[in-house]
Amino acid sequence: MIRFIVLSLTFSLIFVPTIGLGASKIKVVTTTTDLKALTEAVGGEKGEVESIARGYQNPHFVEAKPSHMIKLRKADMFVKVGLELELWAQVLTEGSRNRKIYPGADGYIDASEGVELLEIPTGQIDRSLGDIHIFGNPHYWLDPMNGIAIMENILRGLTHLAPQDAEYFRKNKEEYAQHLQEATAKWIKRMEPYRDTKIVTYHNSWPNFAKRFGLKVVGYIEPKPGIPASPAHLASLISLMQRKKVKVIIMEPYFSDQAPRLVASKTGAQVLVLPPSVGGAEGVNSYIALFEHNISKLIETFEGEGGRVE
Amino acid sequence: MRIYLYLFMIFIILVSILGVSPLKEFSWGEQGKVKPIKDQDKIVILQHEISDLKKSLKDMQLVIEAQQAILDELKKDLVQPPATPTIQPSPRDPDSQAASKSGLPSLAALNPNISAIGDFTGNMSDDERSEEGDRFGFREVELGFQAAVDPYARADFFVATEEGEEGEIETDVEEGYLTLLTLPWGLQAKLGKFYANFGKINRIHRPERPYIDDPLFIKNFFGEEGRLSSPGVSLSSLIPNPWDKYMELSVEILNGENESSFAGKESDHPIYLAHLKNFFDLSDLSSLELGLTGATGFNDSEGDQRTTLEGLDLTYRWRPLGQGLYRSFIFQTEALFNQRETESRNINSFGFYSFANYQFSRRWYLGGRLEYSEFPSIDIDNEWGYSGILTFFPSEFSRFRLQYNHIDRNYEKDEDQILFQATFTLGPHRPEPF
Repeated sequence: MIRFIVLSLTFSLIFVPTIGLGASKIKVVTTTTDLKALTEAVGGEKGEVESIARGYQNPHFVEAKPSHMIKLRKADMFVKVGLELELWAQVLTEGSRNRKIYPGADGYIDASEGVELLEIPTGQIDRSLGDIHIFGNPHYWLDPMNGIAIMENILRGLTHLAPQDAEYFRKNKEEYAQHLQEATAKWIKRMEPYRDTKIVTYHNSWPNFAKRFGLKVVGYIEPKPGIPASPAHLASLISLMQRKKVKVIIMEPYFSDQAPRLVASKTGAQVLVLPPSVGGAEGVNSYIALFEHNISKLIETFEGEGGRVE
Repeated sequence: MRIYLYLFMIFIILVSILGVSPLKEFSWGEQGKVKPIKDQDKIVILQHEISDLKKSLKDMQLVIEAQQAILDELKKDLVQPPATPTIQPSPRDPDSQAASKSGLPSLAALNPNISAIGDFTGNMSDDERSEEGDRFGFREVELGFQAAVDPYARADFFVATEEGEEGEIETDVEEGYLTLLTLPWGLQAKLGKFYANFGKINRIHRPERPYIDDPLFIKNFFGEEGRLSSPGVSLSSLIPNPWDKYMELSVEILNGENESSFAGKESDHPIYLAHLKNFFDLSDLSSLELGLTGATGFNDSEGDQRTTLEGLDLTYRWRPLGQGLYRSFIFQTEALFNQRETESRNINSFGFYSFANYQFSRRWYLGGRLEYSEFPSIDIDNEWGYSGILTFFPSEFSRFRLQYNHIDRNYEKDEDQILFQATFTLGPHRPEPF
């Protein structure tokens, strides 16, 4: 009898927590924090969202740890940036053995669907061009208007999984889209005086951002995407920046600031560390906050440079 | 005249872009019960887009004017009207443009991921009898084909072309297996020829191992090929546990083809193998993996003498999340215990290696390896190995490595080796199992 009680207690300890939780909430795992923030905006209190990568982590290189597979094992939905940004994701979804999130399932969402992409390579491509993304630049979430298209994809997934809450999700999405649109209009107005300012970025992460807010990216610290800078490349970048009078270098927090600082010291430019993702800097805890932070930092820097830089 | 035509066409295109895309983008705002987006904001965003378009329109106008000027020049030069009509601007066929944009014809997109890895080595040894000798070797070209077979399974093929003993070229299917992904209860099955799930290093393909040669115990117990592998089946499952940790149990049945520890090609008794993999996150930056393996089979073709192997593997990994591109550390150790029945007596032998690798910049790694091994059927001979390894990655797809080995043997004289390796990869290659 005692043995029976002990056994049943053990079993209940093992199983009860898993039954008790998550009965109504949809469990979503996203690859990046930006997708997490947008999923939370749409899912509201009916979703429970977790991101695999941290905001200050390079999303190209995330370790495919078995502990991530355990997270995915219990997920109802998986959202990824796509365009071959997360080459590590397939190992994780397969390793999770969770059919609900296999490619093609309702719970598998590629957020890039229907997004207008930039820099789709044409013609002969190979790796002599560096780590190029054959389907287009994957940093599309850095245009706030693409956030709306991403939410549309998330909405589709959530609606599939919980049709009874479709109206709730749609309302959430539309409210957030409206905030986003209002905010974008403000950001554009604030950036207006600095239109066409030339900048250099570390990695080619910012084409969508630059296009939306009227910046001109004229060069990169990396000679080719994913390839570390050589002295010869930096020398030519320095002369290019001097010629074009580039005064700002934008870098992501996960790169070494050695090369940007060197270039800055030779050109008098400023190095500005901007988070490309939610959670990449202190206080950046929502999708809107990400742009608010980056726009403010940029304007601060431009103003420090004495107004508009030609 | 023509310039007006151009401008008109551009105007039409502009109108259609401006007229259609915002509607498409924000159409939900109208059907919803939520109040529509404030027009002002929409206007600001659109204004911005329009001014972009205006600018590119201006650029195009300049180009057109310049072209018109050239055309006029040419016309003036031609005293007589040309027999053939003047060059007509051929309107771009939107379909052909779309096709070239997508880049790939549709069937090519269904090709599996194809990769080729070249593994070039150089070897210098102070031992005259050393098998590798003082020479270069093109150890292997490994071709990989990987893709989903259908919604239920994926397939992985690795074919290696290797230099044989006489210098002839041998082709060998290193791995070729089907993985069933959608079995009930979260089970996964592998069918075909694959590297047995014995410890950690046995499953890693040679060009991707973190050192040039194979650890001594792998060589001694699994053969010069450097692996335990044969046709068979594997079934694996994640074990649910109250701590919510990764625990994977795999059970494999393989042909007893291995000649070093088991009976070899003519054996009709299989090897039974079980592996338990445990993974713990110590923090966001570091993790620990502990694996246990047991394998048993016969070492004679009659099936009278049993060999049992036990394996223990431990891996500690550290990589900072933010600056993970520039720093990392791994410590890995594996041990193998062998109990072999022979006609005369039972042999108990043992081998292990410990390996540490530190990444000190984006492209450089420095590593060391300490190892010890006895032999499957001899327990009085042993060898100790001491290695230093320096690795340089110009990119993810090419790698140069220099390694120094000192091998201390109790049955013949010591040996010093210097090894060099260049590994280069074409095409997409799936990451090795973590």
